[in-house]
Amino acid sequence: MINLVIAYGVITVVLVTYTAAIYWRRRKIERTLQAE
Amino acid sequence: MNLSMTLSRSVESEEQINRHPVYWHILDEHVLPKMLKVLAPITLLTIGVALYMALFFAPREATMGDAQRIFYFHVPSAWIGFLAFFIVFVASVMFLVKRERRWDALALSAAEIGVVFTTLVLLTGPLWAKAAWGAFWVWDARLTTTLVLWLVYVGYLMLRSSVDDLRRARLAAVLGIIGFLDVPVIYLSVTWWRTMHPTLVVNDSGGLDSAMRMTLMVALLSFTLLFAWLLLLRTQLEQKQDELTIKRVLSEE
Repeated sequence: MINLVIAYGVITVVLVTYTAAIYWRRRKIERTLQAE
Repeated sequence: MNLSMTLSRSVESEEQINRHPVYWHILDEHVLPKMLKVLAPITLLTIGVALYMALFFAPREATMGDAQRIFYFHVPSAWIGFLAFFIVFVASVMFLVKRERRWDALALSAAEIGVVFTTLVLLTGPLWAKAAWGAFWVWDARLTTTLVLWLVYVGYLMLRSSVDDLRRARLAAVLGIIGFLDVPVIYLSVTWWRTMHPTLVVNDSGGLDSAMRMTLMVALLSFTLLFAWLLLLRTQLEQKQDELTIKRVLSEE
């Protein structure tokens, strides 16, 4: 059971972090584009 | 020649400079948000359904118990890894033939997503293996070839993370093509060599239980939708980065 919890936890953390990182990088570029 | 220079040379007039470079119509600032408004909730809903099915709908496997449920997201992660690297392969070939930056951007985006999902395969696999085989890792043919695939595309990303040199882009495209040759090897490794890794049998005769099969299919669909979402976002990010590069190069001139 613990392996299942760890596996699903890892999948969630990795995918949420990666998706958030893309949105964050996008926002950063958009702000720079507006500023320049 | 620098990629930035290539990009700036492809922009011919002041009017074009002020416009956004659009690699594909689907990535246009007015089109993509509308698409994502539909795609994002459908994806999240499908992932929710897949998660519910994996935890509550699919029966508990007799010998492995709950640890077997790792399989419902381990297999889709591997599928997305293969799909992503196939896109890298096609886009790299197109880049070498046409020398258009949009194909390079697509290959780079797909490679990054492919590495993320292959990382998930390499993290969830050992957790399943510990319950099934009693060891986190064995130097089995499928495990080893998957690790090699991951290393090749991590190398690809490392190559790309340095200077945006056109020569490096070409070299990365060649690596992206060669690296994909490992995918059929991974797929066939269970038949070519004696391996501990289970072979997936999804047909009716002696394969997966129907509830397990249905759960796997929904999980596959959910990750495929997620992949489409991430690929659109990531490729648009490359497009925006190029827009910024063009502006900077032109303002320096």
